[in-house]
Amino acid sequence: MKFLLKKLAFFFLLMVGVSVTAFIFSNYALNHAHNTVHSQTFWNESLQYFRFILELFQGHFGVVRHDGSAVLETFLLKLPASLELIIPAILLAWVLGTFLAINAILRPGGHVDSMTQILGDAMNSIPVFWLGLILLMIFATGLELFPVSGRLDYIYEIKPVTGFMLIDTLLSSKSYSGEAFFNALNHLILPVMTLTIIPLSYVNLQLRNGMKEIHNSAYIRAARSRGMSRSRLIWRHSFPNAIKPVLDGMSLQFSVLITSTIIIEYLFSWPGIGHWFLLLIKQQDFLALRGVVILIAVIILIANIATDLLNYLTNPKLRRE
Amino acid sequence: MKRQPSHSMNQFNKQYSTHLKILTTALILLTLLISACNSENKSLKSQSLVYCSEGSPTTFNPQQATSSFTLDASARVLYNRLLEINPQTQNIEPSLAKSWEISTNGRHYVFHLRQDVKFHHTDYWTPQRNFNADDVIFTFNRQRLNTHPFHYVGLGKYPMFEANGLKELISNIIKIDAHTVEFILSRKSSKFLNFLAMEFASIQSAEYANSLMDKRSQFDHFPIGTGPFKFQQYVPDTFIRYHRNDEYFGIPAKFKTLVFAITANASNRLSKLITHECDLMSQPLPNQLNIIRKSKAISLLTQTGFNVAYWAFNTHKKPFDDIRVRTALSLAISRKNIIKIIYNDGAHIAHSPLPPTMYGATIPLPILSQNRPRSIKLLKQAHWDPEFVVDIWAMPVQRPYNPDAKRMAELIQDDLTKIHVKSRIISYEWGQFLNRLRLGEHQTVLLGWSADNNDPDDFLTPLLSCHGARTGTNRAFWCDPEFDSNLRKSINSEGMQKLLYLKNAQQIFKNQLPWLPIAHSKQFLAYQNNLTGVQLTLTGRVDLSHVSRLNNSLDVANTSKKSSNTKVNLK
Repeated sequence: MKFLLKKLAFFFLLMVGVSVTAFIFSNYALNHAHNTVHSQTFWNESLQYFRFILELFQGHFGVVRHDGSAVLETFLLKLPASLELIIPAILLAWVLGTFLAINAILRPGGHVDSMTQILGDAMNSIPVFWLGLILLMIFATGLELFPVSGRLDYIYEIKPVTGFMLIDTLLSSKSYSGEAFFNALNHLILPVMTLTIIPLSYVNLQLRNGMKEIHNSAYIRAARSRGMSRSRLIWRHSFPNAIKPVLDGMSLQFSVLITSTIIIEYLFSWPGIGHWFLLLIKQQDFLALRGVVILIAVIILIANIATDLLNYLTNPKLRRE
Repeated sequence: MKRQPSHSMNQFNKQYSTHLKILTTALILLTLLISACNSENKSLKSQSLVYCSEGSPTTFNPQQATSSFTLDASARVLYNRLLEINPQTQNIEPSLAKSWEISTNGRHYVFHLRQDVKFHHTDYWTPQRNFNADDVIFTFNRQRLNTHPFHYVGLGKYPMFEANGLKELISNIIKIDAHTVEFILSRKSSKFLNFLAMEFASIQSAEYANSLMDKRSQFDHFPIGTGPFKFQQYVPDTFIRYHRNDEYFGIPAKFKTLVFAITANASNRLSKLITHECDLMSQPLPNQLNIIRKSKAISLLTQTGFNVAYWAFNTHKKPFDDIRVRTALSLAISRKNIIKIIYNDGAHIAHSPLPPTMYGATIPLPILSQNRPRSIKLLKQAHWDPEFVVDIWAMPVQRPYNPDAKRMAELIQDDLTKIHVKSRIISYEWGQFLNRLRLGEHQTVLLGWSADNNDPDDFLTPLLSCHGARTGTNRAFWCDPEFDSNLRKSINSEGMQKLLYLKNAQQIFKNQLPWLPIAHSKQFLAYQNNLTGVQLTLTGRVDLSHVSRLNNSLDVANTSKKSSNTKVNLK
């Protein structure tokens, strides 16, 4: 309970920080864009800020200038598209990262291990947009295996129900719904592949180092000497213990992931939050941007709290504190 | 004791490495399977046309639109007008009006309307009657009268209707019977029929408007027209989908579905065109033209747009009030170089403020080509101060008439250095840039103009008249009474007389050189070779209503021959 309260207080403080920053920057940008330097008093500005906060609490995150739609509404409409990239990327990163890390324990210095190490280092230093471009050039425009952009070929008319294309295609009553499902899956592959690289190299590296350390520790050696099977050793002892710091750091990775999603969505014309965010910047719609920044911050913070909570529940040491 | 764990380790190792192998193989197989399962649905594909456009429309009402992609997504797809301009002959042809009469004083226009025209039947509205005079009256009164219940609906502004002075020109519209309507003008206008063929004159349904009295804002977001396609779905920044209007009164469209795939990034548009995700792409960049020209599968449609890019001198500021200075600076510039580098040869050198395809621009003016010795001589005569620094204002945005003003300014700067004139480049954020220009803070500026009809007055009045100098659209602030009087006379005359006045005006412009006309850029549209009937209108709008797809290779060979005839000025 105390933990939860502490987290909520932290959430609240951070949101105040984010909202103040977003408010100041959008105001500055607005004045700058219109070349109107208002000599506003501190009180006047503070009053404006509180009005803005009050509106946020009422669910008014602003209006998009271009078409007059509500920011919150459009955000929620576009969120599934972004999640459709982020969720598979995280899952894939965990599955692949775990397998590769275990492989590193079992066969240190083997072919796969050294290759992952080299590739991991390379991936860590490669900018996402560049990797995305290269993948596009090879697999989309070159080999024409995957589409260049979008979530679904335009010939399919799928009614949005959940916003998740994979689910919506299956829910559709059209005769081509199965075909459209595979088409949507095909559209996912390149962007997800690009996006997976970031959490993958992180998960793999952290897990690998953690497991190696645990593997050399006294209690594992003792267990081994007692004849405990290797698979039990890994799945029962080293993996659960190594995973905790990785989970912990994952909450930090989440914000990196969101930033990369923005770039990848732009690159693949993926109609999610990131693509929209860049468009708003291009249109200099600072009032709408203010709302979007706050909504993105809320999502990142919620994800952070969720991972912390997961950590808390799985870690008895924290619970005792 | 030592053996046992190592035995179990080996076993697990083996087991694990098999798992890893299975996982890797499964992933690769899955990826390939997805790719293989994604076989193209040919019958669906052949019935749809995908156009990769560059922006999201602000509305589906062409009356309230100014941007090209908003007009493209509404005017010719969803609506019709009383009259249309034939893109080949430039003649006015009947459309929703089958015939018309003009009174002898030129102030009364009576239109006889078609009776067989049906408005779109969609999921959100079903029409109960055919098109009639009420719809014409609704369309124009909505734009004309502030008291009209739909005047302030949507964006609430009618920029083209107002800019063309129709608010004052039309004094009344009378319904004579259900299919006859009369326009009464406040004065004679030679351009009135032209106006009725422009996008803002697209006819909307009065019956639909009446049904929406309680939720008027829906009117422009869920459009109902008479055009070849009807609106189906719009996902902002993603796509617009239209279905064919099977009850269309004209030649029905060949495709069941039309999609505008909104793709802001030009490289993405081209990639999609290459991978056949799009059938057509709008606005290829100058540096993409060579790739497109080399491709055997892609055709390029070209048309000189109604536009001009220019370098204006602020004639209110010294030393630019001196004609010798203006001429000297103009003579220093190599426009050939600019066309090659900035437009990648996608433009003509401008010899007049008027683009060569425009009425009245047929009179050739002598070419003002680069001449450095003469330029230096003229500067000497004008007692040029070698320490003086010329400000070149370059607009911060990309426009069809000028894809890169800053780079253009750099080229001009280079040319000026060669005649020993110092210069610097200045740019502001776009809104601020325009504001400061209006106030006349600049010395010289690189800017341009695009018109939306074939009327030379649309160019010359705002850009070069004394009225334009007062309102700020004349960036040179140049006001020549003789030029103005010729311009005024040309507006009120016709035929040879009009051409003569226009010629005089252009000659005065050339003698005075308030600005150096640089280029008339061409409009481009790239599309798959197996399409025919792709058209660009004179004003550069894309017309997709007559496009069809040929499936066998013989047909493709024939069309590429045919389309080479329709491609204007490709080389």
